[in-house]
Amino acid sequence: MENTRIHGYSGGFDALIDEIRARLLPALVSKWGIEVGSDLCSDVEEYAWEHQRKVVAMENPLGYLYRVAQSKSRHHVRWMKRTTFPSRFPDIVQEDMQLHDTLQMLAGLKPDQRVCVMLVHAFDWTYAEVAELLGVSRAVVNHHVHRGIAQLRSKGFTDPLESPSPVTTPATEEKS
Amino acid sequence: MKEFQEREHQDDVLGRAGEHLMRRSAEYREMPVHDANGKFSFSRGARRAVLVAGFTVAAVATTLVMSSGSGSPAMAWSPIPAVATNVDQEAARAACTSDLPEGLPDLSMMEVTVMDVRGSGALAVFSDTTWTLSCMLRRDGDDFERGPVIAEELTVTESNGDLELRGIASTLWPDGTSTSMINGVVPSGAVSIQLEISGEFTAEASVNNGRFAIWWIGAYDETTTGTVRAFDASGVEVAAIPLESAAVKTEAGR
Repeated sequence: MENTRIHGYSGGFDALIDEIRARLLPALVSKWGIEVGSDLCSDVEEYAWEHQRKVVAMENPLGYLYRVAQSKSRHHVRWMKRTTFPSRFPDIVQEDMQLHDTLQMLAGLKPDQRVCVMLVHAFDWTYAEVAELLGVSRAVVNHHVHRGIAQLRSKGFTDPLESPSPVTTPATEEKS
Repeated sequence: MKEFQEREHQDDVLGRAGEHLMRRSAEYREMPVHDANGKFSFSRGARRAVLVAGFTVAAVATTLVMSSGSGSPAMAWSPIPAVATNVDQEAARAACTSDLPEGLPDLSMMEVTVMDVRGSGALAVFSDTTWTLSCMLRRDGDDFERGPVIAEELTVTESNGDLELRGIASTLWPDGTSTSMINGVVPSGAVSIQLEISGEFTAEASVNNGRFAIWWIGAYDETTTGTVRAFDASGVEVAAIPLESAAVKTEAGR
């Protein structure tokens, strides 16, 4: 039987659009960068509009729409050859060098690592929320986060003036 | 304790990175998205190069318009430029040199004065003491595909420290996408340049060596109105000039 529950979207489609912009956009921008991530968000909103009855009734609509974005990303990345997470941030070099360096280091992470690191540490998601969005297990999210943070620290992420510290991040550690 | 402090610091820095990305995304989504959804065309058909070039009286002598290459995938654009790396500059030099006609200066001997890289396109401005060449480019993997080139033979090479428009051009690509470009001289005391096309967008130009350059998706013609503004390090406007002040117009074919 078709699942017709409306999960957390008492406001219907408008609430879903709000969720897309508030929750899905950070994930898309973290993975594909400002331009492609934003364009994918618009693509996803359009898709959600066209399939709103189906999408709103889903158990995990954001997770589904994330996969829609993954599918649509091929158009931007493979065919249009657009730059995804940018490795150059000229407008902030002067105003905030540390932020610039942080973005540069984030650009060096694998996309899935970057999404997990950003959602957990920058946007305060729980591991379970990230796992639900990405459609993976919490262990996978945990792996991506710790590998990502380890890589950032290996580049002197914590403090440019200090030498890199050893990574001591227990696997059970989790934000709640 | 130290580890806890480091983790707090790390989350603070990453939090600021997240805020930056979301702020920029909001700006990007509010701006008109210049993403021309043209059809793909990989044929090497003749490119219709329609160009209108405008120069201030300080520049001008020769205008040449060239084109080569094929139609490309649709272009993407951003109001914020990226930094042109040495790799970008060398790729631009390689692309801009290809199929240049006789009579133009040797690009290999010219400096890249300023290069505007944004989205899936770029505008490279090469110059020496007598020539300035503006070369429109599209991303083609790690390289560039060349579009039209405008060559100016300068009659006056010195700038008097004012904001000047040296060249404005527009071209129509085979897939129907129009792109335009502008370059000019940064006035004394200014560190950034903004281009406002009335009713469409405001974007930051690339600035280097006292010159600025910017390309955008859309046609430029005599009906286009807008303003180029120069700002100092404090963000105070120090000069402004309307696009209409690009006095001399030249039309040329491919």
